[in-house]
Amino acid sequence: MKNRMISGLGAVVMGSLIAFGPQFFFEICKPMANGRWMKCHWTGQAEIGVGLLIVALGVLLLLFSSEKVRLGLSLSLAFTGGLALAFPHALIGGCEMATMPCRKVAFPSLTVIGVLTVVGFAVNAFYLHRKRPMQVPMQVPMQIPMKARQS
Amino acid sequence: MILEAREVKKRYYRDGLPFYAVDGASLSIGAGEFVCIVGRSGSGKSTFLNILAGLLTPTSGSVGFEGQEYAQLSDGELSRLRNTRLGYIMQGHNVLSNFTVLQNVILPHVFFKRDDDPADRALSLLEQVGLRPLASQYPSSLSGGELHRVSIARALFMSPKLLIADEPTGDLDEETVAEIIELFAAIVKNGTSVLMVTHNSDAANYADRIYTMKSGKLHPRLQDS
Amino acid sequence: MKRRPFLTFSDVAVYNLKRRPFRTACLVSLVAALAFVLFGGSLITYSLINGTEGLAKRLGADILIVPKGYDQMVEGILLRGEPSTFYMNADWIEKISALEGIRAVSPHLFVASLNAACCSVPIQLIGFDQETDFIVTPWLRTALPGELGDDEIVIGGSVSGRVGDKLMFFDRSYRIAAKMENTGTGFDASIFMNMNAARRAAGDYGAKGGPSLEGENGENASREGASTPPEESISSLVVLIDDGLTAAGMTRKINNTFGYGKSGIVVVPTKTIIGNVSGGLRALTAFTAVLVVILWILSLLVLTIVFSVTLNERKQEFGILRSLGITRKKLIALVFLESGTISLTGAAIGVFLSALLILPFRIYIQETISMPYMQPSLGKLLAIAAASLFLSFATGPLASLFSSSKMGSSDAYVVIREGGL
Repeated sequence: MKNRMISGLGAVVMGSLIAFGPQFFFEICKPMANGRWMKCHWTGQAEIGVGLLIVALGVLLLLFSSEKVRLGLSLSLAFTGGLALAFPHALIGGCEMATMPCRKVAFPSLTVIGVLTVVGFAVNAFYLHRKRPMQVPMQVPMQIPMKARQS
Repeated sequence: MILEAREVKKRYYRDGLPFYAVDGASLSIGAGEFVCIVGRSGSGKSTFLNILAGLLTPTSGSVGFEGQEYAQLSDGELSRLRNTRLGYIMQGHNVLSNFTVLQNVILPHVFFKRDDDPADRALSLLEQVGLRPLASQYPSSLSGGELHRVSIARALFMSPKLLIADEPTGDLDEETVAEIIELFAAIVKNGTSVLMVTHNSDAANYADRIYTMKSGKLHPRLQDS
Repeated sequence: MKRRPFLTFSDVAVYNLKRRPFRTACLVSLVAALAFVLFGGSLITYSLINGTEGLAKRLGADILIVPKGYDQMVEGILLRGEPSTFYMNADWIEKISALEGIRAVSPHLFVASLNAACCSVPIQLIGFDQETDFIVTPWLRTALPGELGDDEIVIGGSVSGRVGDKLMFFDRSYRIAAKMENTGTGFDASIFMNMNAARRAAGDYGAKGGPSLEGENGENASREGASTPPEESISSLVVLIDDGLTAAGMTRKINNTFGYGKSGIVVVPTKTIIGNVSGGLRALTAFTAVLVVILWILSLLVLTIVFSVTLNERKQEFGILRSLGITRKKLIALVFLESGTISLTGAAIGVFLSALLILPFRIYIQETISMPYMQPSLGKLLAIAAASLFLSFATGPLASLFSSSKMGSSDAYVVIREGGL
């Protein structure tokens, strides 16, 4: 139950930050003087989609109690976090200058959130995978060396 | 002879003055014997048992287990002896709260390198003390009597030659005390020697010999009837 | 496949920690905070030292000569790559060269671009004279074998773009002929071009509304550093002096020759710039070191106190373990295993979070502290991480030394159980 709340809410928060952070908090670059959008704008657009997907997976984490389902959700969250990293760093990219706001603040912020998402949900998946109810063997050897207690 | 203690003394200092918690106690226990020590609290019983279990070094006198003198054993050898041949149930709550009932019983298994899987044996012991259904519970959800039975199962886990129990019936209601004492009687019948310290006079009925401890001295008590 | 044993010795330590989640979490957080500051502090300090060394290496001149009032600007360009545009008369090259004791003089022309190819922030264009230059050329030699053409540029390490790509400035296209390594200085965010190209860019800059090279306003035409300089303009001079002379002495000499305050120029010994930086750096390094030492001792102290307090409450537990046949050595090993697990977990978390927060924000940090900032190479980085990890981890075992030494005597766990005795 505790794991469900923490992991689910964690995904919702991370996803929201990925989706809306570049739009509002750690902003990507404004359009150029001639009104054209720069590359980082499209990274921001892509992150809205990835972020909302992470939010949706997080909501599912909150809804399902089955550990196997949550294990699967955690794994896909870890990979989706990787996708959130891939847009600014490989698939789309950003402005030419390292001193531009997108490269200076927005992308590093996305890096931090993305890495936390990947690592957090990889750890959670590992935890859910390892966690099994204490295995008490059902068969008890009937050879009882000691005399049973009289009642 | 399984255990033999000769003229054991343990000196402590209180307010700078020496006094003897154990004052020249001698005791020997043979195979399959059930020996009881009774005495008021503070009479030195627990100190004596700690010395017999090799946890305390006596100021003078000697203790031997199956012919091995404690004084000649290293800490490792003495620990190994406690681990395999001498079950010791200390006074009070003896069960580690961070481990489940089953893990508590298995605990002695992990201190030395071993290959076998202990879970089955531990479960059958828990079955014998009637705690099998509670195997995966934590001690905080068990009653006093159940906790005592866990420590008995754990002490029996390595199949010791001698079981030393310090007030295994303390703080328990009459019915539970009777159950525990019957459990000990069954252990003795099974061939394990038992040395028990108790306040309870019923326990004495099962014992082969009874001693009284007073101011660190051990006196044999004649069994009436 | 061998089945995992039901309960192992190290499990005992792990369960002890797991079943006290609050205490364990607090201690892990404490060590994590220590590791965070230790690694973060070392990393930032090291990057600053690295950057300052880079600056000293790159700034291979004894003195800089800039128009009066622009000495702060040139510092901004060198340290932070803050773009600016200013001019002085090119005849200063002759005037300074003529002085006795001057070994070499070379002009630079600074032009701030209005916008770069993709982005709307200005970028610093630096024109240098390929015939006399001794600052940029030696440094370019490996990356650029020949001369730099009028439509070619060399970009700083943090400007993105590959060799062969085209970049647009003032509607003119330039080919990237070389890219420099990062230095941690303002040069990283600058673009280098030859003097012709820079003059042309300055002309474009004027045409776009900035101050132009052609004198429009007679009033300002003669004033150095003003917005409307004469045709043959430069922004600064880098000067080497003869061996045996001091930069301070030469500064005095130039000021005496041309009249201090009236000449329209300022002489800046480069040691002053580097000195300003390393002065601030020393203070910061000292501050970091003190902080780290205090935090380390504090963590050690808190852990020692917690471990020895819990030792008392755990005497019964240890007594039980002893009664079950654990050896004294193993019991001490158990205590170290627990404290080591706590501190190693904390140290790993702290270093990881610190690296995650500091490494990507390189540019942001550099701009915020406005000092040359150059992150170390991967090898150095790993060495700093390993050292921080080890020092933070060491607090755990060190803190349990005290309590484990108390457990040395065999009677320690038993006596307490005697109660009234």
